Amino acid sequence: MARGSEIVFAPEEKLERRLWADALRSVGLFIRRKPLGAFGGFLVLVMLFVAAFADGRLIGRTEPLLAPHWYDDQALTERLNGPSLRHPFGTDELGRDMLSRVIYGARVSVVIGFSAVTIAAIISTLVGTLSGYFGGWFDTFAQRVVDIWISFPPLVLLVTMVTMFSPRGGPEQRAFWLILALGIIIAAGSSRVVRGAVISVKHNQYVEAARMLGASDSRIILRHIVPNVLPVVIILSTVQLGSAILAEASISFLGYGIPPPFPAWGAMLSGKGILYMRADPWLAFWPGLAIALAVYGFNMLGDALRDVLDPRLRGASPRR
Amino acid sequence: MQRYILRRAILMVPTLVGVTLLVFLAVRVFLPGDVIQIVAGTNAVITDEVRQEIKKELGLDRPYYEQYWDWISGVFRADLGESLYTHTSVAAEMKTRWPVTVELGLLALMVSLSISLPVGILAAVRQDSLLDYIARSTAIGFLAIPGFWLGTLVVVLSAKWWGVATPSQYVDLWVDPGQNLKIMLFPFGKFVPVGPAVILGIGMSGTVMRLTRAQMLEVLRQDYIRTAWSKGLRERTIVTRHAIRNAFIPVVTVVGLQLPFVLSGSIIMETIFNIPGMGRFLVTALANLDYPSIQAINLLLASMVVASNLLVDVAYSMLDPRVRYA
Repeated sequence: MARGSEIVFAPEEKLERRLWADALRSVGLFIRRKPLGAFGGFLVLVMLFVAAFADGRLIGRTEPLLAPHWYDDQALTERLNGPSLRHPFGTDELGRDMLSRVIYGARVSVVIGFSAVTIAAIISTLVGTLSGYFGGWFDTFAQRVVDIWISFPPLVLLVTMVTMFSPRGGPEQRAFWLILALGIIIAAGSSRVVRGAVISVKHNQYVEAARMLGASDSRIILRHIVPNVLPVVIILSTVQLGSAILAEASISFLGYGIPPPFPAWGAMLSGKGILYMRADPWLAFWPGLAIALAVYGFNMLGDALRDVLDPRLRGASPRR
Repeated sequence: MQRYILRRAILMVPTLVGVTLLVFLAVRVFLPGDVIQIVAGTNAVITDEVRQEIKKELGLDRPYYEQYWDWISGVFRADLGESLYTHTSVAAEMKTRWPVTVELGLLALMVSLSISLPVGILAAVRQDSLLDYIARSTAIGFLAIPGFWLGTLVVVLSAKWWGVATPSQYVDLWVDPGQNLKIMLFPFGKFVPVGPAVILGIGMSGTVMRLTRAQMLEVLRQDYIRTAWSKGLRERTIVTRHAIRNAFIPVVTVVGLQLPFVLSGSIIMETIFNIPGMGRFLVTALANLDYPSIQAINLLLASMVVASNLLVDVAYSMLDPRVRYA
């Protein structure tokens, strides 16, 4: 047993190195062929990095790291100051450093966006695969349910669900329901795209061959169907991350997002602060720029990934 | 043709029933206990007795199927209940509000189409020209810029730089069309021609512009376009008579399917610009947990989307004879 694994070990290590080299080469190719997509990817990486290291909690330190201050540190004598060396983005009406708040805002967007899209990817893969593979009454039923979900304007359903589920909820509770509602709403639309992809994969000859060899439905789904629709799910999820971040910002803007003092980009722009924004228009500038860059990054990356991985999907990406 | 429309219309019914069920489930089954507090008054001390009495008064003590039936039979009599907050009829409130949102949506659509169609077509006809690049990058930018950011910036900056604000009083279209259109399109006067309908339209135009361009490019490569060229037709004739008609079929679909996003966006525009439509109605109703209004707004907006999907299907079958018997 021990000797057997030794023999296998050496080529496996080589193989791993080759895989890494291949991966690096394809990243290089992607950057050269899709510069805009690569730029989008760069924006996304910056956002992830900033969200992770706004403060040192991830590496076991307890002070702000990338952000110059805590998001709720107040300098009461420096309220509503425009950009300066001490506060590059200025300060808000409570004397909080805007740069720090925008940096921390990335964390809110990333956590909610990624969680919601993960939930959406799981639900839509599950429903789309079962619906597309088995067809029949389950397909009919699931598709009618999807019809109903996508009849609602997304933001309307989102605010309604979040308000009804946690009317006076604390930050954690709010975040939980927001993520769940957003995930389900996104899943409804994308399960249809997954279903379409499953139907087209299902008619491939290798699926027929597997079935002729006596493979069970679950084996065919797990080994043949799901791996082949996974690129579709990944592309959809990338574009939807942009939409999810935009949706989170919209709902925070309306005042139904994560409650203060947590810094969410949308909430920083909301109507209550408009008097202060008149005094200091920079307040209205930075959070919006952050949202726009994040959404732009995910859109560009998703578009480029789609062109590279699955050109058939062109034009299928939903908006907002 | 008529049979096709009829079949589509009949298929709408289960979807609408499902819509009512989902609204009922989301709003009534998950109805938060705070509603009792709101009905009783914010500072009222609520004993179990009072709670039961209020529940009975609102009909919340009965089984869900009875509550659902009550609500649905009311909807058919155009009786949407009474607002918990203002104690007025929800149906009456809706009657003044939905035309406002519809007007905002239609104006936004006009703005969107009058930007996206000409630019999309030109970008395709002059592919890879400077105009094409500008159009494409602008379209991508329009997709990423959130409407509420643009709206807030416009409001804030026009106050700061020119000291102008949006008119505080909304004027109905039938009362004073000029003033109404001014509020929708350029509330800051001649300084900034950017009102709620324009911002909403700009947001929609990105998708349509990209799709129009892609469709035109595809059509312009077809054999019949080459035939038209070889017949010696003018470029204008080829583009307008041969290309546009065929390129527009998917565009019509996408424009129709944008309605849910227009309605989502109008919630935000109505909030920023103080326009008394369905969107602001929803925001106030949610703040007060005014569930009869919340149900009614959700139901109406979803029904509008279902109806517009039907219209898109019908329009599609008229434009493209091939789908009629599909």
